[in-house]
Amino acid sequence: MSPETRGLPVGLLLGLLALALLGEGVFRLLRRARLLRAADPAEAVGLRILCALASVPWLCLGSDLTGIPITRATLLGSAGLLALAGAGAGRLGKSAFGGTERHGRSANPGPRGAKRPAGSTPPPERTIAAAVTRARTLAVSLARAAWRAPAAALLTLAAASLVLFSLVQVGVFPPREYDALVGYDLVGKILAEEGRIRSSVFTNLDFNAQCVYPPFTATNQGFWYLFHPPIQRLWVPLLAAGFALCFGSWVRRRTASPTAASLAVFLSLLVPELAFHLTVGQTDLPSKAYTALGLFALADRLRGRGRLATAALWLLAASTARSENVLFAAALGAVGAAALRGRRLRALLVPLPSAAFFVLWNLFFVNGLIGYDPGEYFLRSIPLDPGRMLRVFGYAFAVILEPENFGELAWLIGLTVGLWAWGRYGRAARGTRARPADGGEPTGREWESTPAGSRGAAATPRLRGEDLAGTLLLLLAVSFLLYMPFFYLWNERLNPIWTMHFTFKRGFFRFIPGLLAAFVALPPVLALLRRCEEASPAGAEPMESWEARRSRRSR
Amino acid sequence: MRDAPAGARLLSPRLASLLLVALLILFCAGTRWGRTYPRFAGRSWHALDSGLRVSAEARRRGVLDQTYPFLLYLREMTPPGAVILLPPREFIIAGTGGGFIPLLASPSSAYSFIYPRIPVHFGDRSPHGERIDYILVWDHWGLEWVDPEAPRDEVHRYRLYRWPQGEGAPR
Repeated sequence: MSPETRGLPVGLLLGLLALALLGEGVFRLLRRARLLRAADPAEAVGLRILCALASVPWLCLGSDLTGIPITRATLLGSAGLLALAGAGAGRLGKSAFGGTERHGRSANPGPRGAKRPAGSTPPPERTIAAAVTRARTLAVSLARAAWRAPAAALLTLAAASLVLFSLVQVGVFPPREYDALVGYDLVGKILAEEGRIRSSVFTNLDFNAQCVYPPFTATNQGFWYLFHPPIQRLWVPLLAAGFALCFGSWVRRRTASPTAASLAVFLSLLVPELAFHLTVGQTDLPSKAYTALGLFALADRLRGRGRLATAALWLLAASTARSENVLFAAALGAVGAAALRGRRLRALLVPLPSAAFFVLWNLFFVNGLIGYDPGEYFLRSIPLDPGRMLRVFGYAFAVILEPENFGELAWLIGLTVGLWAWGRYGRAARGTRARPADGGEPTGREWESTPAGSRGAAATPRLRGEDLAGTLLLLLAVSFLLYMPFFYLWNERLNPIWTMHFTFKRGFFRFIPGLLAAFVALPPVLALLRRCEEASPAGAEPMESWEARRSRRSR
Repeated sequence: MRDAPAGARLLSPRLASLLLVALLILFCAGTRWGRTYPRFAGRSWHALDSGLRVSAEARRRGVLDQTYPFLLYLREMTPPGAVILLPPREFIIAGTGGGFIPLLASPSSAYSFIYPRIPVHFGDRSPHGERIDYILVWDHWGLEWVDPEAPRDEVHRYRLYRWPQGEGAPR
């Protein structure tokens, strides 16, 4: 052990306490507002971590704008207040919503003591004995789950080991990547010294553009420079863990297969360039995590579950990591508007929070208060130049196809799109058999077994009845198309297009989780993965079987 | 509970899991994507094994570029708040091989290590360009202003000099 890490790491514990309070408070508030729901304990933990990390920039920005110094005390105090507000919202909900809360599979379990419908689960006891019993039950159920799906258990351990490797490397190595050292790491370090985002960096230096990137990375790094400087990038493994828990839970819920979920999580963290980013504190990992969650939330909404506001919330969090994430919000909003009958206006509002933050950060904060014009890196007018656009697409495809960046991911993209197209338009779709393989009548309603509380007929999406892989591929394709203008508009003098090699290489991270979710959700892949399991866990939403869909299409 | 698929009767879940795990081992051994796992694991093990035995400072010296010791030197030799004139960025980049931008060549990264001292690169538009306290002679650059008679030897190759008070920045 090095001398710096000996002794009781009080700062580390305080930092973790502040994050725990933040996560708890913000998650409870968002759950009360019906914006978030946790389907299982793993997702509940993941959502709390992601909420906590996403709240740090807002706390720091709020402190900076109000002149309150950003210190350990103010961060701990704000986190405590938010935790109290979260708890208070629960109490308030008891009187405001008492007896009207939905239980069981509802978004928000009702407050304790509220009138419960018959058959619902009573509130858990809060004694030590009850906690021990719950822990024992959890251990037994985990062991049973591992026995039912041994490959899933192994893949989960492998994915967890990647997060552990991330923790080891951020704990041992100092920040060494150029963008961080001249940008967000510097801003975070001086934030911890001076207690504000608008620190002497912006008055003493001819600073780099990386210093004025949206505040997620800088403030989270600053948070740990304040609490435990030896591991100033602790947010990286935390983010990876939070995202892995949420992503895994989402895929498990949508495919009813723990093996598919763990495989998607493991492969998504293992992509070569992305695995490198698990060891450095950059802006691309948070962009990937929050954009992917926004995409999944919209995919849910298109299939009649969840809320558009949840997608808007995740995309807002993504926009605090990189400004161009507003383009993803626009892309997802556009798909929502095109696909959701009766909810077009609401879907068009999805990009609004991200766009508002874009204006707040770039125009008000950076341009207005700091006096730096980030717009100089972009063209002032929009020229019509098909050749330039072709060059942008050419560079993008070259980056995707380079094995040094993503290994064999390009093959997986081709395989996923090919298998999906074959299932939808090819011989498999036309099918010769009228009945599914098991001899049963296909109901054609497998996708539509929506949980209680889903939207009514007025909001019936056009995409309902389509497959999950297709929905995800559509969202990814539209996002890709709307992401390209970002490079098209680069100022050739300050930002030559060839340098998009570096930016797009990391920008493509955002597409990887959705792509892997689409791959494991492909019926033939899913059928193979399900053979590694005894039975689906209770509460999983059934997927339409390959045979049933084929049969339904042939009718 | 979902009914088991027809194929499951032929292939038990545990055997299928074994096949999947074997496939993943092949994936991790035979593909660029999969080989990330053993490489990542190896690096992490190495970091844990060797990295924690040495101090954080030694680790920084191990991974940061060759200009890092100069930044430590500036921090040791100057008081907080001092404004230090550094050679032009291009001169430093060329002197370190030219393949990348070293820490000393960027005001932002230099500030990160010498804070609260302020770096000013010669020729840059800096808010403190006219208030120089020290000058770093780098590869004999700047020596003609502070000690024109000094021989161009190793002793005078890299050295910090106090800049005369009241004098503006050299042009």
